Amino acid sequence: MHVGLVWGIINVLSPVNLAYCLVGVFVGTLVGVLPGLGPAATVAILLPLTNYFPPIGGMVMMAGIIYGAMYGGSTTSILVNVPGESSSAATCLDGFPMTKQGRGGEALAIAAIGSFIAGTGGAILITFAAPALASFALSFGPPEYFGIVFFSLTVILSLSGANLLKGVSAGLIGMVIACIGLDPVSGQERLVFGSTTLLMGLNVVPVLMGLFGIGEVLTSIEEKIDAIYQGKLGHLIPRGKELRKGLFASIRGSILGVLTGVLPGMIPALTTFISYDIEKRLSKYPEKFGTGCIEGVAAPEAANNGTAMTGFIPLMAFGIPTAPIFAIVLAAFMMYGIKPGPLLFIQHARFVWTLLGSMYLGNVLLLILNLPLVGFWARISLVPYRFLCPLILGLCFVGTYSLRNSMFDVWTTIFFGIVGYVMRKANWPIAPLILGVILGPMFEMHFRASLQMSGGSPGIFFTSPIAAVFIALGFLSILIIIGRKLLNARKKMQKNLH
Amino acid sequence: MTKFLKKDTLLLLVLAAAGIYDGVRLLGASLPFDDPIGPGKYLIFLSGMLLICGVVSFFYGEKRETIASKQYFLKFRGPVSQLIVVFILYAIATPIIGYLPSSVLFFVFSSKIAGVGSWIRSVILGLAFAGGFIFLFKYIASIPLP
Repeated sequence: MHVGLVWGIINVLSPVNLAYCLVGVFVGTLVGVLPGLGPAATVAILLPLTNYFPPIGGMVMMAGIIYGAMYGGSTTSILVNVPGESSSAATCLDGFPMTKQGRGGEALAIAAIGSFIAGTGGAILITFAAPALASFALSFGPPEYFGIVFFSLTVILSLSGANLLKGVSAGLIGMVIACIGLDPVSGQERLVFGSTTLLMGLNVVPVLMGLFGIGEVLTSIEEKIDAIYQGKLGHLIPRGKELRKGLFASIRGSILGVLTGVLPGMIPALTTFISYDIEKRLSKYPEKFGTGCIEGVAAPEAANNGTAMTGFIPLMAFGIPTAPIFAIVLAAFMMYGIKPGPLLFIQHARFVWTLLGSMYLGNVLLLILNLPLVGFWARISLVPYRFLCPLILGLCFVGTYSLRNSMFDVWTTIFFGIVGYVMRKANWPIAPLILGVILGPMFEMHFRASLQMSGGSPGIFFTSPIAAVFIALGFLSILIIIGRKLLNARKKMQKNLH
Repeated sequence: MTKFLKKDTLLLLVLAAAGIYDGVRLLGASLPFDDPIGPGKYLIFLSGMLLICGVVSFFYGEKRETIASKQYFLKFRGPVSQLIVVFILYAIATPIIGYLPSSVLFFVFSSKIAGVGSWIRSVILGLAFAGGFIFLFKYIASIPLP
């Protein structure tokens, strides 16, 4: 195995394969920056390019495109508060506040470093533990997934800020919004009220772009800001204590992302919010999250990249694509006549080890390419807002239209842009609503599938040890958060009395 | 009582009512397979939770509106309202007149609202941005535009 890996890395270091990897990372980052174009869409757009190259070179380029696209999505989240996809939403929470403080460079740099750590960790895991992890992943069924999603929903409480009631309400509104359209299990219409347009349901990305991007633009226009940040930019690379905090958060986010990415259906958005919540709970100053904490950028970005990386494991070991992007990668495998599965490492050893070698190299190239560009990207925050604002709006609308070639998504973005603006003015937290929209469908699907399996008996959630543990952790999390709020309220009352 | 029936409480109650109404409608739907929960019960559950939040907000929610939330109702002719009108007109006009003309107009008006001084500059910016977008998305990235 070690010989195979060394051989794979040497093969990737050949000038031709190195060039393919470099081009893939560069192009993937550029296209990934465009809002609305997530990694899946980016790979789908650029897949025809890889046809012109030999199989190994084509796959190495595609792997580079994936890493580049995963990182590129964080750039607009940090600089202009427009998440290109759901997995970049958590990065907005602290990334954009950092940009408003002139620390956009630090945020971009730690995102690149975190992505590198997670990507390398994921590649190591794939190299040494792919078959074992894949078998573990297959033991997860609907009850186990429900447990994880239930635990993840408790993050809503953590993201609610000072007002738990508003946060929970926003989360529930998000889950109700996610019900619009056809029921995923039975195909019944829900909350469409006779409208054929609403049958399509609401795509997450227009909702995200509206709430974060358009909402922020409307608020900024009202405040008549001259630029996102005015003044001298701070350090472009984090230093000292900030760097230490960012690195440790990246390592924690990487571990979470890499371990959970193996599970089929584990979307990066879920792991990014969980890792954000973990950082907030571990922090000595949780109240500072949302105002520009470096951990709030490092951990979600690392988790995002880690999840994306280890998603290759079920694909290569069993031929099971765990996310839309891996379905496209699978198509590429088929295109080259390579059949993923248990015999992949034997029948196509050269291809596999070169691909694994490209994972290591691709992550290094990502860091080498993007760290020097941090200064360039960070200067976007200095561009006069009267020029930047129309660009942001134009990018949002094109990005949302490109999802399904539908003006309905553009209308959705406009509507949620207004909702996002009103929520900001009325002090409603936005992140819980996003989480509700993202997790609502998963929550419902796994809940109903589990009950169908058990014939309606809720005992299935407790007979599965994994599900029971996650559900217990979820309830514990709720009790801890509510307990803390009550304690703080009591202390405040006592302070006022004195 | 109406003094405390704030807008967010009203919103929660309206959403809950819509969800419960549709959920009850779905209870009567026949499904091709046995589903213990069904689409209706799940929707009723979520909407019921929203109803509870609305009721709690009615009794225990913030009694005092913030200054910020008061202000936003006053500025109907402000830049935010103007920009929203531009969004709506853009979304209506694009399928009718095409992406290029509607985008030029969109960029012209949005940059003017954002603070670009003269109309000539706004027009130049509008043409440049719209042209740039078409070149980048349609010809370079092969992304379909409206």
